[in-house]
Amino acid sequence: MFNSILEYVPTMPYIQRRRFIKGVGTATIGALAGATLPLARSKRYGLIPGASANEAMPIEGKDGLRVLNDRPLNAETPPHLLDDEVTPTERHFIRNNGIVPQDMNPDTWMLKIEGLVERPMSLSINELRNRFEVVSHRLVIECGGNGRARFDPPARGNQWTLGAVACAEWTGVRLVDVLEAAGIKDTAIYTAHEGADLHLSGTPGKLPISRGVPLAKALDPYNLIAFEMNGGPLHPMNGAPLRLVIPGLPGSCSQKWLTRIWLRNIVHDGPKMGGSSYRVPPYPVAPGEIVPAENMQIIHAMPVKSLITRPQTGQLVKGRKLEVAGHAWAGDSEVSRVDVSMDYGATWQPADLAKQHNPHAWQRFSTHIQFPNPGYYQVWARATDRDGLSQPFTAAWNPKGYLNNALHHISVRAI
Amino acid sequence: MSLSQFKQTAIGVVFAGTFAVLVANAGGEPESVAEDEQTLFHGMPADEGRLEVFGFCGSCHSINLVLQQKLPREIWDEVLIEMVAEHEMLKLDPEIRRKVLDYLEKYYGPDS
Repeated sequence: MFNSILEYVPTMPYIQRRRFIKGVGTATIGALAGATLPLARSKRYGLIPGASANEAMPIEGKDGLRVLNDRPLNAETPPHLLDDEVTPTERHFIRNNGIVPQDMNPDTWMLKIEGLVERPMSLSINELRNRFEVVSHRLVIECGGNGRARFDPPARGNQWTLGAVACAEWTGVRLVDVLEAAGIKDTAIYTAHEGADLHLSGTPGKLPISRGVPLAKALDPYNLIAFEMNGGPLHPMNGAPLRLVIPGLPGSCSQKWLTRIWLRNIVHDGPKMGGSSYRVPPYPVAPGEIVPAENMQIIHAMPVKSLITRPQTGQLVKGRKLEVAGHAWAGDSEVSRVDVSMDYGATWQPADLAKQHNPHAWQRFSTHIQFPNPGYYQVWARATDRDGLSQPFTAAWNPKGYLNNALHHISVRAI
Repeated sequence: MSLSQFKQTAIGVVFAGTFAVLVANAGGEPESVAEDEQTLFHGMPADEGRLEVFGFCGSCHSINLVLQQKLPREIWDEVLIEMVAEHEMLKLDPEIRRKVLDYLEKYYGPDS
């Protein structure tokens, strides 16, 4: 019986069989024999040997990230490790939609600019450096699903908590400069981005993700085609050797392992543009409400948000005085104030707030709290943008759990 | 049983067979088989449908992505439709599909 059943395995489509056996076999080997996968292969599949969710599995070149999933690799940064003004490469969160490319050679990498342009181009990274002005900016990248785990009832998707956000210094050329060199046709209204990552099924030529942005947003001079992060090479898991950085929109617009940008006369419809991907209902819904997919609308900007990064939650505070600090950011806008409360919002005190280092950078806030008595306290932060919009006390529920910008707090015990 | 059901059951048996062979080769005793099973299945409760969920839902991406969800049955149903329509998952025989949904509803629903 066993032998005859095996005969049926070869009749499965090749991709199914390879994927099934690979996936199952790998898990079996990893769990039972304790074998370590060769690092090259583990990098390729984003696979950490023997990892399970919530384990602090070490990732090469990263420090302290919490792994949500090892295949594909998705890992976020605990808030207290995001305290730096500029997020170090080793603390930048990791988001994968597919299988990372094997070849990330910056010397042979090519970027195509195509579609509704007058002069389609194919550029190497050296050509980008030589032909266009190279700039460096501090830019916030935040996953659209950051905070998803905080929704009730639970929303579908990767259960990010607080740390799918970072503000590294990115070096590259302006997207607008490259598009204008190619000559934007009048009929173009949207960009479409492609990368070298592979679909999880391993199907050749199938993109795992291809999103785009409205042309008006694409022309923002702070959008970069980036080839350096924090003055060094991009981390392989952050899109080496070339990526887009488009702050103010969900991180999925910042295509990693960037190979092609093309201009279209329709709203781009690549993988993870349609259905309910990166879309929210156009009307307020009740928690848990079923929303027809055809009603959902593309997220057009990330909302105002803040994160307390100092101290780490759970600290003992001696002397009842505490410096609290963190960062605040606001999509395409700017944060104009941050207030902090230690009595669950009964009273608020304004925090010192730095100006943006450049548009789309996050802003440092800090303040001193004086606890009146010993005991347990929660310290809450609330950012307000320049249009007077504050973070809500609880986020508007939506089916895919996007845009959770509810207030963040840390807990301390004053002794 | 239809041929499709037979094929899909065969997949489960091949998987179980592979597992059994590897356990035997590892020289496992009954207690450590249970431990190993716990590790292998990432803590999924033993019940009808576990094998199918693990095999079909954990082959392209980690099963952990599934185990972190708490979704009502109708959303799991949407997920299965999407996996077939957009992500190359094998279209499941109705009986197997029902088993998968039953398991996910029972152990990975909003109240689980």
